[in-house]
Amino acid sequence: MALAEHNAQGDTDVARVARWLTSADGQAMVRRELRRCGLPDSYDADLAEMTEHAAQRMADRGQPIHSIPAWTTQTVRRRAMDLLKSPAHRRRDPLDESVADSTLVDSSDSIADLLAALQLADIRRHIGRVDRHPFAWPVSASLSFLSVAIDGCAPGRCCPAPIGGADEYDAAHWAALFYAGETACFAANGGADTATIRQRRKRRIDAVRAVLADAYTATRSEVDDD
Amino acid sequence: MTDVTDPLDTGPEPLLGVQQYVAEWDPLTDDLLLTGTLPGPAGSFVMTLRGVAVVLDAADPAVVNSLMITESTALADSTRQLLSRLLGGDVAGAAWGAVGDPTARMRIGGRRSRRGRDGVNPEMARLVLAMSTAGDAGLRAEERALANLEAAVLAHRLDLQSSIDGCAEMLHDSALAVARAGPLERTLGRPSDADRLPTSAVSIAAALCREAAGLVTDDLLRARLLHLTEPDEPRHAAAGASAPAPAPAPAPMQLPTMAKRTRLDHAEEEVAEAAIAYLPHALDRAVTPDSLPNLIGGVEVTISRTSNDEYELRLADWADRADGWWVRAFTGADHVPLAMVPMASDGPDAVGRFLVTEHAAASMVVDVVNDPAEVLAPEQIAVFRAAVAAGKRAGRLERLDRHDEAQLAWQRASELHFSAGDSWRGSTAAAIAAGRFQRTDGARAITLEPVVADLLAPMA
Repeated sequence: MALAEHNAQGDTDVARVARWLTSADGQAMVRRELRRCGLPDSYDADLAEMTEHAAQRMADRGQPIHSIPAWTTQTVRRRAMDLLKSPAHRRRDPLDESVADSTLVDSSDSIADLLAALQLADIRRHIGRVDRHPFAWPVSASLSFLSVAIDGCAPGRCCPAPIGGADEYDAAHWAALFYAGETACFAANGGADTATIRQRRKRRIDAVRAVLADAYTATRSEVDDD
Repeated sequence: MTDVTDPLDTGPEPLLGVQQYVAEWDPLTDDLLLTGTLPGPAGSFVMTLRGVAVVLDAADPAVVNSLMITESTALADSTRQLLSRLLGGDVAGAAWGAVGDPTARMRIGGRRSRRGRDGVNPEMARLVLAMSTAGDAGLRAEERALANLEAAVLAHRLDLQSSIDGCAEMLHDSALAVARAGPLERTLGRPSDADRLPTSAVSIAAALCREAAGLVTDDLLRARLLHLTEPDEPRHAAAGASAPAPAPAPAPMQLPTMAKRTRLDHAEEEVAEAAIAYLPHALDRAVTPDSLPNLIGGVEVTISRTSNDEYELRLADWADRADGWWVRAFTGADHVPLAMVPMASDGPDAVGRFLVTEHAAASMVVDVVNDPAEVLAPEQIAVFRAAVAAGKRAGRLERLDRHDEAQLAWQRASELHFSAGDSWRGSTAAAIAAGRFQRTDGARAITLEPVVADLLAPMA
């Protein structure tokens, strides 16, 4: 429930930013900021798109925008100036896990439904909103999982695979974790697959399944709404 | 537009020189904006001091592009003093006149000598350059420490340390990191490269360490810094010997060794679709021009296919630079995310491996970012950022007295700016490349001393 309200608030902010950008005031502001940085007028749509994406990121993080004109002006100004700067050193700090935990619903049956769904592009887009998650690796793993389980991609030779007794999607989950850099989930070369490693792997796989289930639920509800 | 001619100023020379600005106050954001000149084909260097963002032109750091003062209706006294120091008391006072009046656009400063501009104090310009560079992506930890040390030393020279948040910590932490990293030759390049390093890079770094040693309050740290510059001096050698062994660099994530470019099955090679037949060419074009390695190191990034559906983006000798970076693959048409993988070290190289279908690979777009939530830049914007990076590289090469290479870099910047639809910057870069660029006030561009650590063109 809290999440639904949170999303509704977020979506509203994104829409309000988009609406303000198309208003006369918003367009005048974008032109003014382009002029200030000496950027071609033709960049207006790109700058607006980048600003809307920034608003989406705010929404994904659960951060409200208090004043749409002020926030949008400041964001357009910074984005325009950023184009003229060198790329900055930035490390992605994990977000507050409590925000993301609430988005993770454990519904492993949804995986089967997921594979039947045809809205793969929407699901990928939904997963790709990295700010919704405290860590980036589950996003990475979820995208790789879809590549293996749905697109039928074959993992490379060095990718670990379950030996036996594995279910249909276990190999895809292993590949997903491997390509996401979660190599601690697998025994080192020649080492034993200890209980600790298995437990770690299971927890990671559960997290990936939750991200996928959340994406499926969210995109399915969008279709239902339509 | 109101015109405020500058009264005679008898105070000390302002750090940003005497230049013309248009002052505007934005009632929405409460920012006071002083616009000087448009950023040229190399973009800007930006530094933030206590609520004041100073933006200098990267092609000619003697020129101020703009200043942005946040929360301008409630300026602290320290910010007012800083502004007076930067602009001169008269110009700062005139600029405050714009605050509170959203309709005012005041032209201030620089009228005394017609259009003439006294440029930014070279030490100040170098401080902005050093601070900006220290924040760049891709520097190794010890290089970033050296860059921060340079910025902290310059800030002390200008007596601006109290205007930079955390300057004391920056000085101490960077000095400690540089001391821990061991000999300066190692900090500036790999041990195997030490004999290729010009003495100037080491001597500049040594001079910085000596100056920093005079600023730090910790005696042991001072001795360790001096030991770096005079390793044979017995007084400092004791400090060097008592120092703990250099902390190992944070280990980037390791991937298991992977067989390189396994041969594809014949059956797989015989693909029917024309797009896939051109896959190697598609892979050459897949990486966006504004991917991090392109922007900061001018490195040509390529992707190769390592198995049926596995692709590899490899950066040679970048293992310790790309830690925390991500490789992302999107569909070409509508930019649906296909893969997003962390870069990991594979021996000395940084590598990102990802899975996509052969069909998707034929038209995918791949970028390298340090924030995976960042939006994939539109094509024109990506080219523009590459153009600005080429301009910055040209400026760096000029500072290193490598003029022939600088000329080529300006030409490249010109081409890219034209491709990005920016004909003004394209023409300006072409004029600089051809040696026929003149500032409207006839003044010559200043060339600063190069900063020590800069990936755009390393000193080595």
